[in-house]
This record gives sequence, structure tokens and C-alpha cells, in this order.
Amino acid sequence: MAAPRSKEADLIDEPGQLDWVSLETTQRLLAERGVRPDTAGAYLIDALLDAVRAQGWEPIVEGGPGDWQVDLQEWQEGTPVRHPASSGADLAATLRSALWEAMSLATRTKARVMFDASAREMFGISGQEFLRRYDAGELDEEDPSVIHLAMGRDFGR
Amino acid sequence: MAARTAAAADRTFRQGVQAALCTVSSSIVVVGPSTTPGLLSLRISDPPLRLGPNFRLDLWLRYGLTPADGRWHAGLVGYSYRLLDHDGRELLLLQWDPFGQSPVATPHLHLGRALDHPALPLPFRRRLGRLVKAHVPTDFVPLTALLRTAITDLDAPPVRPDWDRRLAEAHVALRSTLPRESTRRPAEVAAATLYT
Repeated sequence: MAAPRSKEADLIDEPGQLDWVSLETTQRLLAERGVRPDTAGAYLIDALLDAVRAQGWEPIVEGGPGDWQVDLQEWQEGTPVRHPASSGADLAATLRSALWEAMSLATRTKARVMFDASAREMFGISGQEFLRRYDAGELDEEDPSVIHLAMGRDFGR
Repeated sequence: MAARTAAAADRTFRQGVQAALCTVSSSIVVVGPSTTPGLLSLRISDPPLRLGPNFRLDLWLRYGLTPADGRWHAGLVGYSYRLLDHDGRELLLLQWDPFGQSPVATPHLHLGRALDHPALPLPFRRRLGRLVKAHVPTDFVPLTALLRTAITDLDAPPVRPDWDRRLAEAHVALRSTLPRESTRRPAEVAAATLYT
């Protein structure tokens, strides 16, 4: 006999129960782009592809009806790098899931821009210069502000 | 938080953080490229996060993905929450960074450097200055707890009527990503997380 579930456990205990977050977030982004679902709640494939591209990713769609896969691709130093994003039976739903991934995963370029902006705001130097000084041990390793920005060092590399 | 694949555990972790954030903001959680396999950094899309008219929050999270018992687990392995005033002055930092260069690898609090103001009497400034660098010990601070405090104590207006339930959901989802009592020593956390 299964143990009784606690009230808290009823809130969430399996992956997928927070999918409302990505559905809501992508719906808001699409609405901001002037894209609305049809009466059945489905979005146009081209609109979803364009929304993914607007995040800096190139969507790579493979498979066929009943078994679609979508990867996100970016170019890093002349080489294409692919990240598996989503898979599913319905192309529109799979692309919408990939759109959430495209929103939530920073391309290398976007990550560096974000890190650079933070370094300039906090220290008045570029992100690359911050990392150079950090790696060289030229920054005060106990300065809380240094530690704060260094938490995101992977964004800048 | 466990899932059948690393990708699913990763996605659920990000959704949990997004669920917490969406109670106070329309910001998106953004994960950066990883330079260490299984170890990821997360930020918000447009920092700092606006918490009502008086406060801002700048944050970084680091988390790891670990296989165990045939499932993949997402676990928090560091954070830095930087509370600012509306003009960007630093008031408070809550940090835990067992993988950084700092010798202090346990969760702690710093007073923000903006509190060390030139208008204050010099002896008092000296004492405040000590507290800027001092590592005042704390427990692990989940983002959900910080956002709840922002709403209830710092006048951060929730942006949705069901914020209390959504924050509770996110808290339950993310609670299991905090180090367990038995694995709180950073070396053990690191060993459990860096599986490659």
C-alpha cells in the first residue's frame, strides 16, 4: 500500500508539473510579437520558427509526423554547435517547447554580452578584462562584489 | 528533483526558478554555456530584478546535474543574491560559492558596501567596513524564500494573484535541489556534483 502523499507533495513531485511555466512564458513572448493561436489553440509553424530565430538560435527540425525532434544551433568560431531542445509527436507543440529552450538557454554571444554588461556596471571594465584579472589573481578574492560577478564567469568565457 | 534524463532534470530546475520569478517579474531565467560538464550558471534576462519602488535584486545561481539510482538530479551548488536599492546601491549580499576562489565555502551574508557611507562617523564606518567583508554565517537561502520576503516585507508587488500558491509550488520543486543535511559540507557537495 502506497504511503499517503503529503499536501506539499501534491503540489509537485514529477517533471512536467511545471510545464505551465514554459507554456505561459512562450505565450507571452509570442503575444508580444503579435502572434496569436488559432481557435484550436495552435500556433503557426513559421511563427514559432521565427520566434526561435529571434532568440539567436537556428532551429533544426528533423523527423516526421508522430516523431519530431528540434535542435537549437549556433555558430561558435565558425563551427555549428547543436543543442537538443525538444521532441514530440506534434510539430507545433515540439517547436513551442523548443522556443522555451531558446528563451532560457543563452547563446555564447548572448551570454558574453550579458556578462560584459554586468562587468561594466559593477567594475567599469569589460567582461574579458574582468576574467583576465580574475584568472591572474589580480582581484581581491574576498571582495563580495568580485565573488558575485565571478559566479557567472562561465557566461563570459 | 529527479528525472529520467539530464535534460529533463535541467528543464525542471529552470522551470522551478522561472515559476518563482514569475511571481514578481516577467524576467526570463537564462542559462549560460557550461565550461565544466554538468555544472551550469543561471541568471535573469534583464538584471537587476525590480522589487517594487525601493529595491532591486541581482542574482547568479549555479547548479549541477548528477546521475544517481537511474535518475538524474538537479542540485544547487552556489548562489549570489545581491540586494540593491532603487539607484543600484549595494545593500546586502547572500552568497554561497564552494567552487570559487574565496576560502569561505559555506553560505554567508555580507553587508553591502553602500552602507559604508562617507557621511557616517569614521569609527562607525570602520565597523561597517569590517561587516562588508565579514562572512556572517547563514543557512542555505532558497530563492523562493528571498522572493517571499521581498513580497511580504519589502513591498515588492506580486504580479499575479496566485503568487502565494505559485511561490509555494516553486519552493517545493526547488527545495530538493538544496544540499541535504547530511551532505552540507562543501567538499561532499562538490564530490556529489562533479561526477565527470
